[in-house]
Amino acid sequence: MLESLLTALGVIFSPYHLLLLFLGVLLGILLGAVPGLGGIVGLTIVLPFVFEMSPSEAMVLLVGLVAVVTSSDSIPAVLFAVPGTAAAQATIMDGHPMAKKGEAGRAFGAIYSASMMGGVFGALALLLAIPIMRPLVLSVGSPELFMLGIVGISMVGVLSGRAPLQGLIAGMAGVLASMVGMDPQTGVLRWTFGALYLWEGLPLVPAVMGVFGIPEIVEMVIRRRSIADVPRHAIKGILVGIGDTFRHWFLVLRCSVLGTWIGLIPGLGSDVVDWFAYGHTVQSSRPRESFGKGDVRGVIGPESAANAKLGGSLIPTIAFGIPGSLQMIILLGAFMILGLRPGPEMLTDNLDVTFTIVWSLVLANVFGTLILLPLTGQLAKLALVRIQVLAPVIISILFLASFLTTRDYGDLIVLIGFGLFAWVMKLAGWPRPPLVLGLVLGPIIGKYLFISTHAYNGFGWLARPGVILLFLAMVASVAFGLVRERRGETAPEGSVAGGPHEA
Amino acid sequence: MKPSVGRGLNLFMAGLFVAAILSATEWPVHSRAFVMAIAFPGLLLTVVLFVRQRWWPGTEATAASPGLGDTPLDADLPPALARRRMVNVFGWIFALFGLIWLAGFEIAVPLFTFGYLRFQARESLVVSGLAAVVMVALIVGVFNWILHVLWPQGMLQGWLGL
Repeated sequence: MLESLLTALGVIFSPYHLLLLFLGVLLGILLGAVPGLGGIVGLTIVLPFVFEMSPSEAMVLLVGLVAVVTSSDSIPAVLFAVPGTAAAQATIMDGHPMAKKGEAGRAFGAIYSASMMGGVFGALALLLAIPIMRPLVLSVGSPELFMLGIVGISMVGVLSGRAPLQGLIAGMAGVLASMVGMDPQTGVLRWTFGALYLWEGLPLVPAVMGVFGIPEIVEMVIRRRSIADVPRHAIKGILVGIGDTFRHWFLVLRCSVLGTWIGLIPGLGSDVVDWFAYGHTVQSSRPRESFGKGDVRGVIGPESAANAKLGGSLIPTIAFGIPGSLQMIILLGAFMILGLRPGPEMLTDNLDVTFTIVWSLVLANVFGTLILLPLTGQLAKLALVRIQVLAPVIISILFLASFLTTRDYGDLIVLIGFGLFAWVMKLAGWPRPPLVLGLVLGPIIGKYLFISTHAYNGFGWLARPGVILLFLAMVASVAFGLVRERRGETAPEGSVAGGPHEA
Repeated sequence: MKPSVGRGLNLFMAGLFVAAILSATEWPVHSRAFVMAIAFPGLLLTVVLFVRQRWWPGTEATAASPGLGDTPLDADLPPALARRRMVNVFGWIFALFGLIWLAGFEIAVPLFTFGYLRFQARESLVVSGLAAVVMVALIVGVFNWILHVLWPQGMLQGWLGL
C-alpha cells in the first residue's frame, strides 16, 4: 500500500501530470468564478479529451478541475451576493457583509485558506476511509436521510434570529415552492399551470440568484455607493484572513468532518453542505452577535465544508460505484471510459490510480489557493468600484447564469419573480435564507419520507437507531441553544432578517 | 419601512398556504399529505404572526434591525428618492428581460450594458462602449466559442426572417 502511495506521488510530480493538474485547476477556477457554470460544465468540456489519456493523466485533470470550483465560486458570492455555484450560498451570509465593510480581502484570505484545509482534509479522509467505509455508507438509509433533512430544517431557527416566526413561515413557503412540478412518487402535476417548464420543478440556481442577488444589487443601486461602504485604506489584507482561519482551526476541522460526511452520503448533494456547516458554525460559536454582519467564522465554516465534501463524495464513487451527485456521475462516466471499474479493484489492481486521485485532490487545493491568493487584492478592489458602473454587468451576469440552468426563458422569470419576492421580504424585515433552505431541503424530505413509509409500510422506521440518534442530536442542539438564550447569551442578531429603511 | 409591508407579506403568505391546501385536496393521498403537513402549520403561523402584528406590534421584526448582509439605507435618503431609484432599477431589470425576449442575448446584453452606463450612470461613450464590447466578448468568446452555448434568437429575428 505504501509503495502504491509513493508511486502515485512520483507519477503526479512528473512535469506532464503537473501541467495537466495546473490546467484543470485553472479551468476549475474560471468556471467556479462565473455564476451558472461550475464543475459539471467543466467536466463535460474536458471529458472528450480523456479518451486518449492514461487513467492517471485523466484523473489528475478531472480531479484538479472539480477540486477548486468550490474555492473560486465564493468570488461573486462575496463581492456581489451571487453564488458562483450552489455550494457558495451560505458564504453570502457573512462574506458579502464583509465586502461591504471593506474586508473583502480578509474574506478571500480566510475563504481560500479554509477551502485548502477542507480540501486536504477531504483527501486524507478519502485515503483513510476507503478500507473501512462500507458499514458507514450502508448504515445510512432513507429514514436517516429524511431525518437529516429535518435536522436541516431545524436550522431555520438559527437563520431567523430575532424573527423566528417569519423565518418559519418563509421556510415553509420554500418547501411548498420546492413541490412545484411533477410529484416523482405519484406523477401528480403540482402547480404547473399547464407550463411544461414547471414539470421539472422550480430550478434552484435562478431562485437562489433571485433571492440573494437581485435585492442586493437593487439596494446598492438605491444607495448609489460602491459595494464597500468604507474608504480604500480600510480594506484589510488577506494575511488577516489567513490568520483567522488558523485561529479558528477547530472550526475548520469540525466543518471539514461535516463536509466529508455529507459528501459520503449519496443523496444529500452539494446544495445543503454549506447550509449545514453555516448552521453548525453559528450554533457552536460564541459570541454570535456578529453573524450575518460580516463575521469571518461565517465564511470559514461553509468553505472548509464545501471543499472537504469532494473527498467524501469520491469515497462511495470509487469504492462502490455509487455517485452521490451529477458531478460524480460524470466522473464515474470517465472511470468507465478509461476502463476503470469502481469497487474492490480500485483498492487492489488500480490502487495507484486511487492514490493519484488522493494526491491530485491535495495538490489541486494547494495550487488553487496559490493561484487565487495573489488575485485577492485585485478582486477586493472591485468592491470599491462605483456601483452604477458594476450594476449592468452584475445584472447581465445574473441573467446569463440563470438562463444556463435549463436554457429556457422560464429561468429568467424565476429569477425576476424570486428577486421581487425577496426584495419585498427584505423591505418587510423577513429573513431570506430560510426560504432557500426550504427550497433545498423540501425535495429531500418529501422523497425520503415517501420511500421510508413505503419501505417500512408505515412509521416503523422511526425506531431505527440512526433516526433516533439524529433526532436526539437535533433536540440536544435546539435545547442547548434555548438554554444558552435563557442564560442571557443574545441571539445572533446578524441572522435577523432585515432590509433597508423605507425605500 | 411601513408596517403595512410586513402585514401585506404575511397576508400574501396566508393566501399562499390556503391556495396550496385547496388545490391539493383533489390529489392522491401521498401527494396531498406532504402539502398539508407544510401548509396547515404555515397557515397557523401566519395567523399567530397576524395576532402579534395587530396587538403586539413591537415584537415583530422590523427593517430597522438589519442583518444577513442587509445594510440599512442612509437615514438621510429621502423616501421618495429611494422609491424612485427602486422603480428605476427594477425598470432596467424588466427592460433587459424584454430586450432578451425581443432581440436575444447576444444583442440585448451589450445593448443593455451600453444603455445603462451611458444614460443611467452617465459614463463616457468610451467607457460605455468598452463595457459593451467586454460583454460581447463574454457571450460570444467564452460562451459561444469555448463552451459551445447556443443562445436562442429573439422574436425580432424570427419576425424579420433572419
